[in-house]
Amino acid sequence: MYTINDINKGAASIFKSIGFPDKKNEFWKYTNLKKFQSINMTEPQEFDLPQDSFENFDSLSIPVITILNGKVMSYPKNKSCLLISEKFKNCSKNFYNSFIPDDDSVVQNNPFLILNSAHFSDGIYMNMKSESNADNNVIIRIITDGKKDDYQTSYPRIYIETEENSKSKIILHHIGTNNKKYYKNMVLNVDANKSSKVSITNIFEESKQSFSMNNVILNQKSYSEVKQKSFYLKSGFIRTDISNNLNEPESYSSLNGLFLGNNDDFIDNNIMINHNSEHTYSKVLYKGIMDGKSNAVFNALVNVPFKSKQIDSDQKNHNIILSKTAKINSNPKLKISCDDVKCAHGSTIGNLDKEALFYLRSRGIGLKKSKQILLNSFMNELIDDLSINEIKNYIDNRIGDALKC
Amino acid sequence: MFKIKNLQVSIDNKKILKDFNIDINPGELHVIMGPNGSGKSTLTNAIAGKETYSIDKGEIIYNEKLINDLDPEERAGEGIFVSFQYPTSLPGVNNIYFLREAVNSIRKYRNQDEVSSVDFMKKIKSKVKEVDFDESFIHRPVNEGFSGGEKKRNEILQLLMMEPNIAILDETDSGLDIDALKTVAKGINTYRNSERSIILITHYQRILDYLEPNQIHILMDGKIVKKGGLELVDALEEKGYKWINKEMV
Repeated sequence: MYTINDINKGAASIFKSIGFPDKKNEFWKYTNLKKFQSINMTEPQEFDLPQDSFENFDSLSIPVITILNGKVMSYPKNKSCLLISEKFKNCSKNFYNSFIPDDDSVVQNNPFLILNSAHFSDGIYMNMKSESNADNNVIIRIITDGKKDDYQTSYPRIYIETEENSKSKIILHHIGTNNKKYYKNMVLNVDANKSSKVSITNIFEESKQSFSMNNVILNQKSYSEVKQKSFYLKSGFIRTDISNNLNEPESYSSLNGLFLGNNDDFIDNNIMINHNSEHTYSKVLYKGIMDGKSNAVFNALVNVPFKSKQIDSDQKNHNIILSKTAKINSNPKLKISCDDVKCAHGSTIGNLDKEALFYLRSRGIGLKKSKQILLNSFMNELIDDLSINEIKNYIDNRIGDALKC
Repeated sequence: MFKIKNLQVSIDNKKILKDFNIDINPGELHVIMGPNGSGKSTLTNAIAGKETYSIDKGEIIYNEKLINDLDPEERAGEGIFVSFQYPTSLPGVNNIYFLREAVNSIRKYRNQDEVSSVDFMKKIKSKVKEVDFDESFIHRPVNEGFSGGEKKRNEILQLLMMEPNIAILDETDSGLDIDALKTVAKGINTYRNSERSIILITHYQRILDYLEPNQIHILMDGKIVKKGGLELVDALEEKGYKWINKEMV
């Protein structure tokens, strides 16, 4: 029988050998871990749900899983939803092994994934059924409470497998208690089976005092479709590493992100798309609006190996800078070893369009409202097609709060 | 009602308008004609309040109030509308939302209540017809993908929706086919009444066949060099601007 304890030990020994990355690592060149490495950490002792720190989307009647400080507090009791510790009692060796990747480059580039494996105490496992699509919708509320002095640690772990032809919508709402200090390190694995469709919406509302490390591994089989949208509405130091493996033909992924930075926020997006099979398709669109002294990174790599013909990949990052002190490092990259592919990449960074702003004002619309209109028009394509209205309205309202021009 | 006195405007320290004067009463239509580079669009932008156009001297007075230092949105709130030679596109901002914001912002400036959705829809549906737009236009992003003629008609739609007291129309007739020209002229005539005035900047005589201007002004090298009636336009059509140069010498 497999145990979490064994994984913890194995991963801890791997981390000991690799340590934290330095700036020579291409995936970490814009990320300064100095402050993180100097903080005092403490393990959580209390698990009382904060009273007023989250919206619960109760009206949606979608099953909710609540994770507090890394501990699964509640989840729907049915066959398709288990604690990872329970799943381990009856799982394949491959499943167990996936908790400690054996690929050296994955290990080197994702030290926080290894750290999660070294420290997580349990997590949630879901199997999305093909026959009951309505039950495959789930809200996973990842709440992190913190301390005033030391940084409280938390290691949420979520594993989702989809059955063939299943459809599922997963909403991950990351909520941090205001102004509390914590270090959250989360891993989300999604194995999308043949012809399954998965929609993932991440809403990040972390504490301004937090370190939030998010590792997402998306493995896709043939004809599967994974669409992920991530909204970074409130951040302290936040990093997301997405590793998207299109392993079989006709698999498709769409990865979108919208990040809003203010004050001293640091928002770090790292995406690696591996077109491991021919006839695979990917689309990346990230948009950022940066104000104050905030700092963001868009660092993405589309990797097309030698035998992967007929790839269609599009990678875009567009940014608006609202202050002279905000900063963005945008680095969309392609590594193509095959000549029968269609790959595009591009990036823009600029201010609000002055001509458009003047035109709006000349029609009587005040400066503040005009800026809001232009920012909304910049963001709309990422928000408009959110399929659940309540979620869309929630994000809309939160964006309104975040962007006080 | 609308007066400009001794206006001097520069862009990047280059003087464009040198000593511009005009005086317009309620209900009047004044036409400004002039060769390329004479300062026509500079005048438009200075009246609209564009930051890059610096007013070095002179006064723009509207209803006895000096508006030189008002923000662009305040000028619109006061009742001044400027139609631009090259209207800006606003990708992702649909026309109906934009117009509603514009109309309500102006009402708010005047301490009036917001217009109700029903009244607004009624009005926009009737005005859209007046400028020969299909109703679907109101749901399209402002000027995005519009042809030159559609952009100009859209400016007239805004004029009819916003109902200002004075409209400055900068080459709104340029680049229009015969039908669109008639539509624009009809829109201008619909807008005009005994209270509402117009400054029309144009290069061509043809739109004037449909309008009844009170005065024609010739702008050259940043100044009004000649004023008169429609006979001035005829003379310009026949002899060009060189004729005025010679006359001035």
